[in-house]
Amino acid sequence: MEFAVEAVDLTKRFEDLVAVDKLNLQVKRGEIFGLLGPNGAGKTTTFRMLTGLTLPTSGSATVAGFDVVKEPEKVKARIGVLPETSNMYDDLTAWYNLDFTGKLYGIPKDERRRRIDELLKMFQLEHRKHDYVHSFSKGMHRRLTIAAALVHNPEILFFDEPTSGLDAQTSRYIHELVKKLHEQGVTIILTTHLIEEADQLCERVAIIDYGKIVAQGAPSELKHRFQETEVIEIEVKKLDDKILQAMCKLNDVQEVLREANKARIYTRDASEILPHLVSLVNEKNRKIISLKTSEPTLEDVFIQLTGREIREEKPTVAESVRRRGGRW
Amino acid sequence: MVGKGLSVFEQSWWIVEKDLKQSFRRKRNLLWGFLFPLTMLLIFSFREMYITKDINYIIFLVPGIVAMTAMFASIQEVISIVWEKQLGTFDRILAAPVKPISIILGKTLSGAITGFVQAIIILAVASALFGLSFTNLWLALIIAFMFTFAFTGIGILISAYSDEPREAMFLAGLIRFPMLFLCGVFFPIEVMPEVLQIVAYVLPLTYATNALRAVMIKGYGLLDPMVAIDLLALTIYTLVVLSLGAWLLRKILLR
Repeated sequence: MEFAVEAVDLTKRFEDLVAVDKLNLQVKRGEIFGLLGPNGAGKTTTFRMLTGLTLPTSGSATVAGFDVVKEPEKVKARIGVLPETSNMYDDLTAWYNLDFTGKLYGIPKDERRRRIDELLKMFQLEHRKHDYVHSFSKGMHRRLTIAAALVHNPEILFFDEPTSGLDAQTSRYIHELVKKLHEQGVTIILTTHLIEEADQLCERVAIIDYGKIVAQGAPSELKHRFQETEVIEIEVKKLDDKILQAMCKLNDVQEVLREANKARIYTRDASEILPHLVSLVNEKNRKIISLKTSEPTLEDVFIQLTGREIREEKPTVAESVRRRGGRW
Repeated sequence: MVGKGLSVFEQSWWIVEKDLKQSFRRKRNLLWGFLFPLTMLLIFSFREMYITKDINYIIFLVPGIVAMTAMFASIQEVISIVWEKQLGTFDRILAAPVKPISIILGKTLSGAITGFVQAIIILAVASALFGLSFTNLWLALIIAFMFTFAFTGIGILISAYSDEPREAMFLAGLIRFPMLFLCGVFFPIEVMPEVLQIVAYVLPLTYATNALRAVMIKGYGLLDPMVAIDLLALTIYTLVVLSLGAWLLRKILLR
């Protein structure tokens, strides 16, 4: 078995909406693979199809060597799933939650108990094991949910936004854990909208937008592809559309992205543009608050591929609807 | 580590165990579920106790209240599916190597057991309260366990249809309350206009109430036509509703 996960033309349609569009994906055994994309890009739907929680509309996927549609139970027995929102039973104890999960995976009693003790210790939840989960903090909740995903020692882990909404300490803990599991040979596939997370953890990432993979490769590779680009970040007091449009029209400007009063300008040669840029702002009697040039980051790759673009065209209605991030 | 393959029965039993643990934890909910039939019982027997002093109405009433309790409790328990869908905990079960049929069977059993236990409690309380004794109690219990499945089937249909808990609660009310007054729980259906009598014979609570009365008050046996016809109707009803519910739920589980 060469790949841990292989998806061929995987598609999911909800009524007249295409959440995942002929997605092709290959994840090697033992690697940490990141699915990177904005909210509503189709990450979670892709995950749900790969983990047998949703049936694809068309296309196929093989996970741990088994077809997700034809042999879902065999797939499920070999994978661990961490959903985006922790979903433990609030009105049951931490211990029983793990025990119930272990039972569903068919782990014999003695082995189950041993494994639960081990996991509770590992996740520092031992002292709270007989407490009801509703009394847990968000971080403890997350740790318990991860413990539940590991009860049956899965070969492949699917982590959906593993650190979203967590404090720095818990996030760091989860990152360490992912690395540790990776050393043990577990394949880890995670979705994230945090670039640093993907950059730090993943050996390969796929950037997904509108249900399609728009770029794929090692983080360094993706950055390399944009290496001929330089980035100017300029902050202007009361930045408005007029100035942005003028910036777009400067020679050699590839793209301008806006974030509040900041504009990120992508160009081949920053030194060429800088004087023009400064005089442009001065002409309009605006104040430059800060100005710097930099190498492209993975975030730039991401923004260039998926982000809001200013340029001439406005996003179409369909695009803005998709941006709102529906239920997929 | 790949766990050993579990049989459908084992898988569904773990789900039942989990559901019952949760139900037992929600002690207040259990209490409310029990207070409702008790209140109905007291209100409707009040007139007999203090005005007519005719115990026969209370004897008539109790089997109806028992059937009603089973109906309320079973449906209430099964629509927890909609809560689980909402909270995402259903995905826990779906993410495990559990067959859809085990989930449906587990939820069905949870509903049936909850309805049955609540029905027994109300029967015991009512008997003690009014000093009643009924005939063929064992048979009555078996019948009660049978008809909780029919009500559970209705609960599964509601759960499969509803997108969110409030919708399920509304639908459950819409189905339970008319049944409560049309199916001969408080008065015999013969006193109703003919149109309503026809409606009553479409509803499963009518057969449950009839069968229980026949067994508990009149002392009929299992093979007596009075009882056998009701049980046949209930069985057919259960099979139809449960398979329809299971089919719908299965489709929705993997949407």
